[in-house]
Amino acid sequence: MSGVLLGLDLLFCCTLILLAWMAVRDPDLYRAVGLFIAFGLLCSLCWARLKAPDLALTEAALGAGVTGALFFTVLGRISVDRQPQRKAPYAPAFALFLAFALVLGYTILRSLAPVPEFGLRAIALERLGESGVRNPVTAVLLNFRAYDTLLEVGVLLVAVIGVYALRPAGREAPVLKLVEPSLLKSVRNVLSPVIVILALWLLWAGEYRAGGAFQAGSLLGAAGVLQILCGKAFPLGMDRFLFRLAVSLGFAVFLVLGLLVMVGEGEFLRWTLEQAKLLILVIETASALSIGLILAALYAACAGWPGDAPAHIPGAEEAP
Amino acid sequence: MIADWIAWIFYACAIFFFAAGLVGLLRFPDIFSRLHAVTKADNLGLGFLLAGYGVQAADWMIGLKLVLIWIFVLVSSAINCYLIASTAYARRKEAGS
Repeated sequence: MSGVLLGLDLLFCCTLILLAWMAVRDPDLYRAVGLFIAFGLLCSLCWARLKAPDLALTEAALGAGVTGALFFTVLGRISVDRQPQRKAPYAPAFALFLAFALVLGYTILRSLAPVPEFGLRAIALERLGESGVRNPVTAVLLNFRAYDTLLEVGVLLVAVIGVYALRPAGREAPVLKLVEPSLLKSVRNVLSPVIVILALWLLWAGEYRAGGAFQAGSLLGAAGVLQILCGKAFPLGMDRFLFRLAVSLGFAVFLVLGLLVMVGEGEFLRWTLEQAKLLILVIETASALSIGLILAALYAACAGWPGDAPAHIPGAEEAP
Repeated sequence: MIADWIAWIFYACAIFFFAAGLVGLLRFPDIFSRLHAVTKADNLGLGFLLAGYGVQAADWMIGLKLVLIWIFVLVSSAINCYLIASTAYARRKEAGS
C-alpha cells in the first residue's frame, strides 16, 4: 500500500512542477490561466495528502477559485492578441529552471533530513488546552499568533481600499453583460442559501476541526461573485456607509477586542481561558463577513465599469 | 466481501467513463461535441465513483453526503456547460453575420 502512496506522491510532485512550468511558459494567456487553476487544485490535493485540510480548503477556494475567476475576468477585459507571440528561446530558460529547481530541492532535502521534529508543532499541541478551542490551527491563528492574523485581515482591508481608491472617478455599480443570465439566476437562487449555510458551518466547525473565518469568508465571497455574474451591482450598489462598515468590520472587531482585554492587567490580544472561545467566535464571524465582502468587492472592481475602454497590454499589439 | 466487489465494479465503470470523456475532449472536432463528451463523462464517471464509495461507506450518513456532492456537481457542471456553449454559440453567430 505504501508503494502505491509513494507512487501517487511522486506523480503529484511531478505533475505539480510540470503544471507550474506549463502555466508560466504558455503564450496563450487563456490556456495559461486554465493551467494555473489546475495547478491550484492539484496543490490543494497535495495539502490534503500532507494532512493539512485547512490549507487544502483555503488553497482550493482562494488559490484556484477566486484567483482563477479574477484572472479570467481580467483576460475578458483586456484585448489580448490570442495568437501565440514570438517564442523566447526555450532551452536556456528551461536549463536555468531545472538548475534552480535541483539546487533548491537539494538544499531543502539536506536541511530537513537530519531534523527529526522541527517547528512549533509540539508546543502548540501541548498548550492547546489553554487556547479555548480544540482545533490546533484555529488555536494558533486566533490565539497564540493572533497578532499575525489581525494583520492579515488588515492587509485585505488595505487591499480593497487601494483598489477602490484607484477606480475611475464618477462611475458606479458595474454590471456584467452575460449572454443569457436567466439560468444562472435560478442557480444562484438555489445555491446561495446552501453556500451561506455551509459558510456558517465552516465558521462553527473551525473550533474543533478544519474550517474558520478564511474558509467561510471565501465561500461568502463565492456567493457574492455569483450575484455579480447575475448582473447585480453587488457590493458596489450597497449603501456606501454600510459597505464601508461591513468591509472593515472584521479588522475593527479584532482590534477593539484585542484592546479591550488590556483593561486591567491584560495584554494586547491575550485572551484569558474563559473569554477565549467566545471572543474567537465573535472575531471569526466578523472576519468571515468582511473577507467575503472584500473578495466580492475585489472581483466587482476587476469585472470593470461599463463604458470603460478596454485596457491594453503594452507590447501585445506589436506581435506579428 | 461482496460490497468490495460491487464497489470495484463501480470504480471500473467510473474509470471507463472518465477515460471516454478524456478521449472525447482530446479528439472531438469542435467545442460543442467536446463539452458533450466531458460533461456526460464527468457526471456518470463521478456518479459511479461516488456510488463505489457509498457501497463501501461505514454508515448511511456518508452515503447521503456523497449523493449531495453528486447533485451539486451535476448542477454546477450543467450550468458551466450551458454558459460555455451559449457564449461560444453567440460568438460564432457574431462572427458569421
